[in-house]
Order: sequence, then structure tokens, then C-alpha cells
Amino acid sequence: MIEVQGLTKFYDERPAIQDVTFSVPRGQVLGFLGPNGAGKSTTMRILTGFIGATSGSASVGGYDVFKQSLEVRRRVGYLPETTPLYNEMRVDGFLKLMCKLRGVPPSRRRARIAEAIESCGLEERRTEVIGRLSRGLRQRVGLAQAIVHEPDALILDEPTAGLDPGQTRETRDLIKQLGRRHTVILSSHILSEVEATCERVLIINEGRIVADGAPGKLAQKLGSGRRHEVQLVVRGDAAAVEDTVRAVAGVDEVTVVAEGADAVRVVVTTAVADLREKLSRAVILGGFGLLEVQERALSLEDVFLQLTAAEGS
Amino acid sequence: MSKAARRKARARQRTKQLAKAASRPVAPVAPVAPKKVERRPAAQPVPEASGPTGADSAYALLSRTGLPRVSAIARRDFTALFVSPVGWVVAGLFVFLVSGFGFIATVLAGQQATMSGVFGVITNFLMVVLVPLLTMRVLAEERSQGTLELLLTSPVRDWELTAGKWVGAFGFYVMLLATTVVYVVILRVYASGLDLGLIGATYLGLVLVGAAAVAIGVLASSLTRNQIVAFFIAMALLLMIWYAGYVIGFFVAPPANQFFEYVGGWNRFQPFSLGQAALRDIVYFVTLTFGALFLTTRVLASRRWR
Repeated sequence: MIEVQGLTKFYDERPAIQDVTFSVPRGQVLGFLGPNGAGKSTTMRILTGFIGATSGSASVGGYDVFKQSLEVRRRVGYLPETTPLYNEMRVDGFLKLMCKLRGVPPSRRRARIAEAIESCGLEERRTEVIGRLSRGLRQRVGLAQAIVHEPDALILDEPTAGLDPGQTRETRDLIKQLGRRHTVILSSHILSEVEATCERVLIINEGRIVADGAPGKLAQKLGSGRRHEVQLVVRGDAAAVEDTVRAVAGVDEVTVVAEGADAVRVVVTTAVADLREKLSRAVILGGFGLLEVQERALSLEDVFLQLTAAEGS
Repeated sequence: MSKAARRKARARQRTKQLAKAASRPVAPVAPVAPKKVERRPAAQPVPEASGPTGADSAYALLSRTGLPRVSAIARRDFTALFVSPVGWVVAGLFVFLVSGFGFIATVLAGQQATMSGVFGVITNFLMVVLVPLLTMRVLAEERSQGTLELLLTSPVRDWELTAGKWVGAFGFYVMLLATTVVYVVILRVYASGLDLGLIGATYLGLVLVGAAAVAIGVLASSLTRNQIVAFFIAMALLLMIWYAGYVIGFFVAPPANQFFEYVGGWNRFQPFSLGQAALRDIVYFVTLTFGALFLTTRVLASRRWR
């Protein structure tokens, strides 16, 4: 559905993206993950025909983004990062304008607008002035305009940026629903969001793709051969606890920090996968009070931080 | 509507669709059938969209010319002027100045049955101050609000956007101009010897000058995201072109100053105000209009190679 080959874009001398290559099959929901300024928006703007590229090629639904821009734009629904809307218009009037601009034939307009309004949960707001809507509702109007012309592909630039937690969840659910009928690319710098909504993640940093895969697999792949971390909260004398913990086989490093009046937090790093049982047994047999045991699994967040930090240094 | 009734309606529609599909060119039937469906309150479940109708195929044909998109953009811009304070300020200021200086001062106080006061306000004030006020937001605001991204990622050609913006603002200008016809009527009723030919030629000239001025304003607005900057660029350009004969011509040595006097907008407008609509002057303003709109289109397109 979407093919990107060696895409490079320079702003003056500074590269925004370099040699970005990926493809998205029909129906996939792809998460574009990266810190701010990594090149997510640039890639999306090129795909939607808003700006050109320095070199490389891209196509949507078999149409070249540069040579057949109008055909591509007819088939893409786009929500820019800042959710630009005409504030003085009413929701239904705005959607009607978008229908006209995107060539929805007159006989289908009413049905398309009604469907977009329904899928974005805006039934109650259809005659309200856009400028008076809350951030979350604006976002829904932004999504409604992106789907109103029945595009094959949806490109959403940071769809949940600036929303409160409730609105974020609603928007995510909405995107998940839309993902059943459209090919979706969404960008985000929030990992849990991509983990929750996307089948596939593309991590981009400093204009280059640094990882590509399913969210779970990505964490697994990068997690193997790395260090694990177990945290314990123990009641007892700090020095005695440290000695006991160090005696456990497999423990590499131990850090002890005071936690409250008579307890300590012990952070153990190890190469062994799960030391929780051995550690808790040792602590209890040593006569201390075990208050808490926790293993921190390597999340996508850690993968992301490791990858982007390595690139950055 | 009950469930059964809805089902019935849908079935009826389906048979209609089939009938339509069987006999394609049914232009007289087509516009009637879908309308019934569309009149429903939209909160109810949406009926499956009907098949392509005669109106739709006409629309597809029309769509290739770009006109539906031009008119959609123009209409939005025109109505936005009535929602925003700018439109009202411009219209109010215009009516105030025209009636104050153009009519009360010239006709009532000056005791002359002439439109020259009204036209003077238009050429001296509307053209160089109010037109930039009208056009300053058209593209600069889209750029700063980000809605330009929305427009240009829709299947809208660059020239369609430019043309739509121009038509919207020009429509407002023509509307303002049309309000001054009231004075022609008043003079016609209360005064004799009014030269309607001369007035007609002047109006033609003002429409042409306005077309060019609005186009230059749109161009200025495409250059920046700041409306104030767009306003001053437009005003500077308009003053320069309008008074080129006087301003530049004044500083340039004799053979060259004739050139500037010749291309100055004011000098090209003079024949109209004397009652002659010469082809070369018409061509001058039409060229100015298209030239400015062409440059605007190039400015919009420049985002692709920058």
C-alpha cells in the first residue's frame, strides 16, 4: 500500500531524514516512533505531498507521491500534528468543505459526513463552532476530516499529543477502530501508545530508521543478552542485608538505599533471567522482613532509550 | 421511524438503484431519487449511499476543470470575512469614508452632482489601504494556522487554491463597490445631466483595478505567515505600482520617466475616469492580475523544492 525507498530530505544543509526505506501492507497499523525532531513529521509531509524530498521515491496505492500527487492526495487522509481547523466554521460545515475539496460527489456527501461524524463520536457537536470545542473534540474533528473522503490510507501525525488521559484513551480506541478499515501510519513519541495501538513499530532517530518490528518482538529481541534488574524492599540492617544479597549466586551488582526508618531498597543487577525466588528466599532465611520484590522487564521504552541514546552519542 | 419502515425504505432504495443500473442514462429520474434519501435527519443511521447519478457524472466532469474546488475555497473565504472582524471593519470604514468624503463633502457641502468624490475615496483609500486589509489574511493566516497543510494535502491544485482565494476577496471588493451604486441612483433622481457613460466606464475601470489590487494582495499574503507583514508588503507594492509614474518617474531622468508614467496604474486608470475604456488599459490590468496570481501559484509550489 505504502512504499518508501531511500527517502532523503535536506533542509538547507541539515538532513531531516536520510535513506528512509519501509513498506506498509494494506490494512496494517504502523507506529512511527521517535523523539521530537527525529523526522517523523517530515516523512509524513512527504507522503502526503505537502513537501518534496531531496532524493528517493515513495508511492501510495501504486501512485508516485511526486509525479501523481493529486491521485495520492485523493487516497490519503491526513491529520497534521497541530490539528489545523477553520475555527470559525461549524463541524458539519467544515466537513462539507473538506468533502468538496476532496472530490466527494454531491450525492454521497451527506452520507459520508454522517458516517465520519458517527465514527468520531461527534453526533452531539455537529452544529457547534469548531473554535469553541475542547482539545479532545478538536482532535476528533481532525480525525473526521481525515476519513470523510474514504481514503485508503490514513496518516496521523501525533494524534494524541496534548490530550488528557481520558481523551487519549478515546482517541486510541478510535484509531484502533479505524485501523480495521484503513491502512494507518501514526507517529508518536509516546511508547505505550504505539505499543497499545500498532501492529508494527518503526523507530526513527536523527532521520534514520533504527528498528522495525512488532512491539513485543522488538523488546524481546533487544532484551536478550542484556542485564536484568530486581528491586527488593527489605526491613533490616543495611550492611547485613547487602551481605546476604551478595551471597546469592548470579548477583553482579548491588545498590542499597535507605527506604523509610528501618528498611532498605536493594537494586540487584544480574545476567540471569529471574532471580526473584532465590533472592527472596535468601532474605527470609537471613531473618529479614521482605516487603517487596519486583523484576523490571525490559519494555519498549528501554529499547527506545537504548537505541536513541546509542545513536545520539 | 420504526425498524420495519426503515427496512422497507432501504429495500425501495435498492430496487431504485437496480433500476437505475439497468438503464444508465436516466438523467430526469436521477436528481429526484437521491434527494428523498438525503433529506433525512442525519442523526439516524445513514442509508447506504446511492449509486452514481446523473448529477454525479456531471460533477465528475466539472471537477476536472477544478471549478468546484475554486468555488468551495472562494465561498469559505468570502463567508469568513463576515465572521471575522476584519470584514466588518473594512466594510464599515469604507461606507463611512464614501458617505462622508465622497458624498456629504463633495455632493452636499460642495454642491456638485458628481461621483468623483466617491470614486476618489475608492482609488485613494480602498485600493491602497482597504484591499491589503482584505487580502492580508488569505494565505498568511492559512500558513500560520497550519490549515494550508490541510488544503495542500487535499487534491487541490496550487492554481485552484490561488484562484479560490482571489475570487473570495475579489467578491467582497465587488460587493463594497456595488454599495456605491446607491449614490448613482440618488444623483440620477435629484440631479440632471449625469453622464452615465462616464460613470459606467469608471466602474469598469474600478473593477479591473480592484482585480489587480486583490491579486497583488493575495501574492503579498502568500509570501509570509505574518498578516501584518503581508499588509505592508501589499500596501508597498500597490503604492509603488499605482503611483509609479509620480514616484519613480519623478526621480528618473527624462526618457526613462516616460516609461514609468506609462506603466503607472494611476495613469492607466485615468482614461476610464474620463469615460474611455481603451483595450490597452484593460489588457494592462488583466495582465497585472494574472501575473500576480501566477506568481502566487509559483510561491505555493515552491514548498516542493525548498
